[in-house]
Amino acid sequence: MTELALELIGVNKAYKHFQLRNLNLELPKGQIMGLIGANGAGKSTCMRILMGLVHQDSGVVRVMGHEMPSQQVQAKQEIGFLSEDMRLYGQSNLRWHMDFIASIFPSWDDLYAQNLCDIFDLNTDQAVKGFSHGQRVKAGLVLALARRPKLLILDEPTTGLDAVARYEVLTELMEVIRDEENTILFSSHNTYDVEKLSDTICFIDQGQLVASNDKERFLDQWRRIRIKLPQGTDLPDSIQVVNIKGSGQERSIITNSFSPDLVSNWTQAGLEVIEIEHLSLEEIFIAAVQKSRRLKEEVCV
Amino acid sequence: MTHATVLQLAKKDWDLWRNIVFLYAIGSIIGLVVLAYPSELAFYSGSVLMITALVASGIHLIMVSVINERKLKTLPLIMSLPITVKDYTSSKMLVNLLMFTVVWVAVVAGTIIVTLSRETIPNGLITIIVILTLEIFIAYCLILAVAMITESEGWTIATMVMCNLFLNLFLFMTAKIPAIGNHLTDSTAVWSPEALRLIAVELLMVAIILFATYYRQSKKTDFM
Amino acid sequence: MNMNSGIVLSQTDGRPLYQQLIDRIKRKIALGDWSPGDLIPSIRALAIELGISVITVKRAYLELEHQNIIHTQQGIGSFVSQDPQLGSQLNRTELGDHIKKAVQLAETLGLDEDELIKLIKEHSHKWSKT
Repeated sequence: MTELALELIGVNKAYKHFQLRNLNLELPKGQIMGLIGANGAGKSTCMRILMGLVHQDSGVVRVMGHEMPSQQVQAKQEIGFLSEDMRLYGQSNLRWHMDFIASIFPSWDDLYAQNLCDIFDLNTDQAVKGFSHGQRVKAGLVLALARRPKLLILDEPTTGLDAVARYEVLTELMEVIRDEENTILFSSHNTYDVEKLSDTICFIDQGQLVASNDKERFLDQWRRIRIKLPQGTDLPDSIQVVNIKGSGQERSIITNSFSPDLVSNWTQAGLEVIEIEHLSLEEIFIAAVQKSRRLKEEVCV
Repeated sequence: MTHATVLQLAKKDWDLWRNIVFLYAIGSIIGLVVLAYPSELAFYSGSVLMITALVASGIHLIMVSVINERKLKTLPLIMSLPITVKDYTSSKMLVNLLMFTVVWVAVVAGTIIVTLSRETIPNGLITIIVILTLEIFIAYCLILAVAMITESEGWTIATMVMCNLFLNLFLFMTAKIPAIGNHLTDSTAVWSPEALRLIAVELLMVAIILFATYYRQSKKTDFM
Repeated sequence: MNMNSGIVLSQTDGRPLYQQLIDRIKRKIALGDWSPGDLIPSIRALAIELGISVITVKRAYLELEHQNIIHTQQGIGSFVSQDPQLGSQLNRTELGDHIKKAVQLAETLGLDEDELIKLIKEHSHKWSKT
């Protein structure tokens, strides 16, 4: 069995107005996992639990084999963390920050740090309060990456970046996994980034894991199938349908368990399949979230 | 491992805020110069200046090093380091006490030296100077505790206001204690059992507040 | 190890990335940029170069292995298959696809065999002279 970089088993955390419910998640070493969710879906809470900053009410959390939160010191020695709400000390420059982090991490690679500063075009002598948002994110990334972490946990690393900065940041992230042991968990509401980079994808909504799968399977199994429904016929009852749209004879159906067999079953049931289309991750995300919310409402009613 | 990290964190705060410490230390030295001037008006304005510098330094340091850590969002950076909430608390208490103590010692030692060396200022004042500055030290610890535990600017400011109001009341009440108040103009400092007991209680309170803060912080489950 | 593949993927191509990648690799082999027996970039290296996930490249490589276009030796790397005919074969497959499309279009337009062949000839410098 492959070693796990992180593992959550039945994790619960209740706040006044928000609840993380029965979260189960596994990420093998060497992979990139993308966490997608709307604002307030629970992505940040999940990451804070992984960092030991918030203690779960119940459930097991292991990060790089260390129990959280009790072994957070050992775990955090191997983690590079960057969150959207992280700021540096405004009156100090980046060099000062780099020296500070270096004083705490024996693994700090100063050559790599300087190299990154060159690539990102960051002035290490300028007080960071003069940095733009993009420069701030890049500076944070330098501080996280030059620790040479085995695990990167990045909360919304690309949010608010211009196209060029985003490209530079993502390129450096990919460089990290050149070492097959290195693992990345990142959250984003930009589904395009996640679709491109991730090996595994998780959808979180309203504090629950809505769907989780390896990306290729996600993109394979979620399809839009356009069919012609002869007048008077009903759709056969099928749980594989996530979403149906259309009127008259044409229907467009989203399924989460596409296979050639599914199509031949439908054809035998008298449906005419016109077209089978791939979906973007964004379309899959929206359909999955809507389905999960529908199911919840049904349970409530 | 962690001890070294706690020291590094404390050093980081010292690097960041030592200029403030020096600024207030210089402020209190100016107060001393005024204090040493042989006139009653100079004595009172000098004392007010020094007490103000001492109180303000504490508030200023707590604001920049504790409250701003959360408010200006540098806390996620710090908590991404291999430390626990306990380590964080230790480093903050350590560096804040150190920084404040620098100013406090400058004020107390300076005042005592001036009092001893000036004929016009009665040495009997030394007792109440010690008692009063220790009260300011307690107030500082209390504000630090509230800032650390609540991490709320509002609660911290409320505590500051309460502490400053209490300072005047405390001064008034202490001067009313005969064993202390009656010796203010004596030529030598009088360490009556009442005065010593009060000082002991003050020191005990410092210890209790610091211990309670540390204990409360180590029980925290949600830090962000 | 600096082994730049020179592959560029399209953002507007509607097909899944792994399919695009398969096509691009086939094209490289057909053109002879990658010759039979050549060591090609590792899955991870190509993923990093293209900024796409490892799993996507892995899938493309697996598919290419199934089609006997590449083969992988554990611990050494992936190679273009030794078949010397591979390049021209891939070209033929591609030509077949294009012709299929052309024929389909011709049928919808109602052209007959001679007309289509005439059209094809018009597009060749060599044949149009005869």
